[in-house]
Amino acid sequence: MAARYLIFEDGSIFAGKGFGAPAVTFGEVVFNTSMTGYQEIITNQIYNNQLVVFTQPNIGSYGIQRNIYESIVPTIKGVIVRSLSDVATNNVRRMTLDQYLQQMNIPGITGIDTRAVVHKLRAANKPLKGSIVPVPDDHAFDQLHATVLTNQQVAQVSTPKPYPNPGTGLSIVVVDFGLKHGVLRELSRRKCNVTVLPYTATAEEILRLDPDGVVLSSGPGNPRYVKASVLQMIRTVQTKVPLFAIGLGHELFGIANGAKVKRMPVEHHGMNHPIHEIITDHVVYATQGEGYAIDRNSVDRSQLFITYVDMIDNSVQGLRHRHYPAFSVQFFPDGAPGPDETDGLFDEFVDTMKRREARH
Amino acid sequence: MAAIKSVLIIGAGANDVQHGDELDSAIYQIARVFKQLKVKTILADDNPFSVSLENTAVVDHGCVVPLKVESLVKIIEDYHPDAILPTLGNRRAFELTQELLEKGILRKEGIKILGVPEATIRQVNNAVLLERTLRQMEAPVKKTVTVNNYQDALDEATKIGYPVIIRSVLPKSSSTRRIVHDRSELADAVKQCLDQSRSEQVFVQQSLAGFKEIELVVQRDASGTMMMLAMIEDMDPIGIHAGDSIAFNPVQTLLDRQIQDMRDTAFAITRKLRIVGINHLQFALDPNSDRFYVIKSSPYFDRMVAFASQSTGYPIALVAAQLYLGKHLRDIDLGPSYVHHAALIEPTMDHIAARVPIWGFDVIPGASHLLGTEKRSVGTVFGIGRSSIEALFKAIESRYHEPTDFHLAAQKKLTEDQLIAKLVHPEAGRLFVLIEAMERGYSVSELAEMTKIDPFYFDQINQMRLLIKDIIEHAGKEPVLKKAKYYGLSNQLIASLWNTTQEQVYQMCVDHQLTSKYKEIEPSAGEFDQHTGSFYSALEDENEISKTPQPAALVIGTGGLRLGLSNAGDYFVAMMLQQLRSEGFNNIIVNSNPSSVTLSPLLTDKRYIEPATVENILQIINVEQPQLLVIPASYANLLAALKKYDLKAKLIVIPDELPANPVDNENQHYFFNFVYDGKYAYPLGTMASLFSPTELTYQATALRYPAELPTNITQQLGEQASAALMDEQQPGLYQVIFEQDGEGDYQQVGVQPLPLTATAFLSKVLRLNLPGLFIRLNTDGLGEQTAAILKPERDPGVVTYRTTFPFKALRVTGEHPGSDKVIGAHIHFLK
Repeated sequence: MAARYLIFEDGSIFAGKGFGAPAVTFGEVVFNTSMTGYQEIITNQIYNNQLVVFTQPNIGSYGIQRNIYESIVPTIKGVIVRSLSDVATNNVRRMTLDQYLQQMNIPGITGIDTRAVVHKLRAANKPLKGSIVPVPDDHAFDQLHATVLTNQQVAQVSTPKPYPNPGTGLSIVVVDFGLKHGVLRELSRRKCNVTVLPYTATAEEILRLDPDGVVLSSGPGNPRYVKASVLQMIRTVQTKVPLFAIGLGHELFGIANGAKVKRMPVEHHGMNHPIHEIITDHVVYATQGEGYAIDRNSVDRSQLFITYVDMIDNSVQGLRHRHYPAFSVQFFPDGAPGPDETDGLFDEFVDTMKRREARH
Repeated sequence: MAAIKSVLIIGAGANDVQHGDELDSAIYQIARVFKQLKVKTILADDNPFSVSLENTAVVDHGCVVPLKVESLVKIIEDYHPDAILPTLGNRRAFELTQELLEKGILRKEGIKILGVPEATIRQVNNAVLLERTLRQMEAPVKKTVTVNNYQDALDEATKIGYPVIIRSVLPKSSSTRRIVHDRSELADAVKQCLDQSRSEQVFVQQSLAGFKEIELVVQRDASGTMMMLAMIEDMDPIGIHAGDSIAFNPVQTLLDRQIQDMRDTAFAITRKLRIVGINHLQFALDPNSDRFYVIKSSPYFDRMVAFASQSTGYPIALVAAQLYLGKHLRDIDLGPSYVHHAALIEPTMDHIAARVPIWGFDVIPGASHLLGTEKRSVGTVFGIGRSSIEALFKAIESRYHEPTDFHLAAQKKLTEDQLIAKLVHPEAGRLFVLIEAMERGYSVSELAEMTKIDPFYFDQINQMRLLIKDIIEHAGKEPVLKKAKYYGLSNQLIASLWNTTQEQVYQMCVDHQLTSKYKEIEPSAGEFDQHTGSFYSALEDENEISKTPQPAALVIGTGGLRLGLSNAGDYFVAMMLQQLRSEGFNNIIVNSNPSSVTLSPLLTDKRYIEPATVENILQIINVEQPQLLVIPASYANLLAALKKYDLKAKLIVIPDELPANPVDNENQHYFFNFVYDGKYAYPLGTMASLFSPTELTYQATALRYPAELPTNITQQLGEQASAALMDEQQPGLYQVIFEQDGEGDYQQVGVQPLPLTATAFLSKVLRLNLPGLFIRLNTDGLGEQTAAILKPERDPGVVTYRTTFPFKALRVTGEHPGSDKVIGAHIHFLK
């Protein structure tokens, strides 16, 4: 493995060894504290424009498995680890993490003092741009400083064309802002007949499919840069059919109903925060991946109420509409990776649709 | 729940192969929290090495009684506790609690059981009941059917799939259990087991041998909130006792969804059993099908819980104590070093912990080294690093008192057949066999097939092998030294591979700035600014340690529990730390025994989870600049090496070396014990080796206090003994040994430091903190008040000390019960 360097816009340099693709990419550096599920994390489209630091030091110990992808073409900008394992245990087509990242043109760096990087990101208290480069010279830093990250991330990861995931049960439209396969898996488990539409789908296009319900998927980046027409779509759809929004979808659902989002000074990616489920007074755990959060004070209580709160940073983790069968969560109820104790939300969504159907 | 004002804690009794120092450590921590919360504690135990028993800083009433239901009934009648806590005394405490339930005394007295409801006590005590519950709730358990003839057995075995286990129902004599690998072996096994069965029935059971063994530690509060605290993977498959396997926290080779499924099941079981506090669950995972099976649910403290706590930095015992009293997780405050609601954050690790067993084979050479379903190891040590290789190298290095030649040379001598035999029938220390097998060119898939160990571990073992090779081939070269230190190898190991001295390796590290940095073991993986005060070394960029406020004492722990010392070493160090703290010292410990009470923040301000290597101690001294440096004498190499450096600290040596076995004869031995301050010898009473009147077997290791001697003889020998002590250089605790020969004359046969086991016993007899006195003797001295301090507050009467041995567990017969083979002991005050 060749020497490579993780550089930051503040001028700091961490020496390591390269793996994956030799490409030079730029992005925000975030850290993820999950101890399991590196493949799911790497293939999650929320990491478009981001390099992810894994705090769990040993990454790659079971190679790449065929049935745990969260997207087919991941757009993560880099993988930063302490200790890479070059192992392939998939019983059909053996592939290591290194080989996979090469194929996907994603750079990786190993041998990094990841704990020091985490401390740095925490201390910066704002997003830091970084890059994995072969030589940490002035040129590399100039490029890093000059790079403007796109804000059209959803456009990069959303499907350009509709596609079906047929089932025999309820008909559901999933609007793709950077869809995780976990959502499709959960809907398949409940036999749903799913049509995935591009994020540009209008309310009319969605309702024309006569769905029993609509899911707004998670996705990358700042919700304010997503086309304004999406907000209009949400405002219409929520009045017609049950709506379930996740991650970026949740943020958009909040904005569409008058709430504001704020940037978190340090992004939170992990699966170990206690989340308070207000209605039951239970504590649950779920995977979270968030750089933005609904501003609690901006929530219009005549329209929405808060259903879940992160007990550590007090961030809003769930919303429900007072007048329509529409609800949302900031965390990932589909797990993959992560606890599945909130997957009942999918059952709740299905029940809501069934009750409406029974009424008709 | 009505407020609980007093709790009876059932202690663990003498250590054995199944349990050891971890329970005393849990009692210590939990009782201390109870005390802070103004809950009175009554501890029933008879372990002379217990730090909690007879320690008023910990428990309010220590009851030194044999752990029998009658003793507990008596205590209940005397003290009328509001509640009883059965989770700190291993399985035996559950059995005792059930006996108390059956006697009706708990109901009569209105005593609440903390941690588990009645029904769960019965289920933990009865595997059949528990299995029924698990089946009812559709938790995955291994398939078992009962048949009464060969044809049915054959049908069922075919359905289950081979291998199967055939077991007698209601066996006539010893239970018979046969593993049947294919149809040809079935008829014989069924016939044999049918013959053995009182009801002429046999169980046909699915065999889980060869599956991965995964252990989860979860926690639940009285409101039903549950969280996962650790997920641990045993390197060895099912078939080798989990306690004898190398284990990693967190799991290394599991997919997320495999873990999540087990987590759901662990939560469901913990909820169903209405457990409050911790639950340690073991699972078997079939790596080919993703299917998994529940093997065991243990809602009590054990080695794995201690390992989970020390390796994550999550204070499990301190939290569990509050859960037992009905507090909810969301109301538990871990103090100013943690973020708000930290008790509710599931621990996540940015390091890897490897746990390895400590064997007793060096002193019991007759024991079989073959590993199987019965536990053979007596203790445990762990290493923490930034890779599994680093963690493993450090854990191996922490086996200080075991042969440290790295076992590699021995493997070279194995013939091919011997090697294969050892791969298929694994023995203690198999890691080195695996390295040798890779050296001889066995492929990963061959080895994985033979050993059922995940290919990932062979990748790691191969890297270890290549690293060692690399080091040997590049003696004295900086790049390879850097690599070796990056992977956690000790200077001593590098020196032995280079045929040089560790001083030279250390100097080379200093010259090339390859001295380790230290990272904090903190349960949020750096997400929050939290501080546990526990550290491990890493050759990386950032250093997280700084000088501890002064004055500071740096203490090297006695390491993993070993035969002969049992946990008398931990007792000594813990009591010493208690004394140092009361004198205003900030305590810093270096230890690698996850079960040790000395790793509790209640005793130490800073903890280094590190092997006691010269470089570690020097690097830590450099930063911490302690006034005192306390090292057990058994770390002879370390002591010798450290003496070559200017330590700028006063060195105190703990006399933890095992005394020589008394001459194996029928003569009576007498021990005259003293505190010696360098000028005067103050008597601490006498002891005699005990000829048991009830058990005819003579144990050279059993003692009674005081010795039964005519007054004039006591006086005469006492004077002779104190005169003998005047030759000693060092202040300390000593004993002078006399032997009564055939003619009835008393011969002085030895002067030695008071063995730590005897120190623990005598401390309880006299209600004195003798390890504390030892420290005072070596620092400021006792001063004018010595005689007054040593005056016992009551006459202890006659007290006996009886040792226990691991012979039965290790299945050896005819072993001589010497003091170097002691695994535990009982203390008994005769009325």
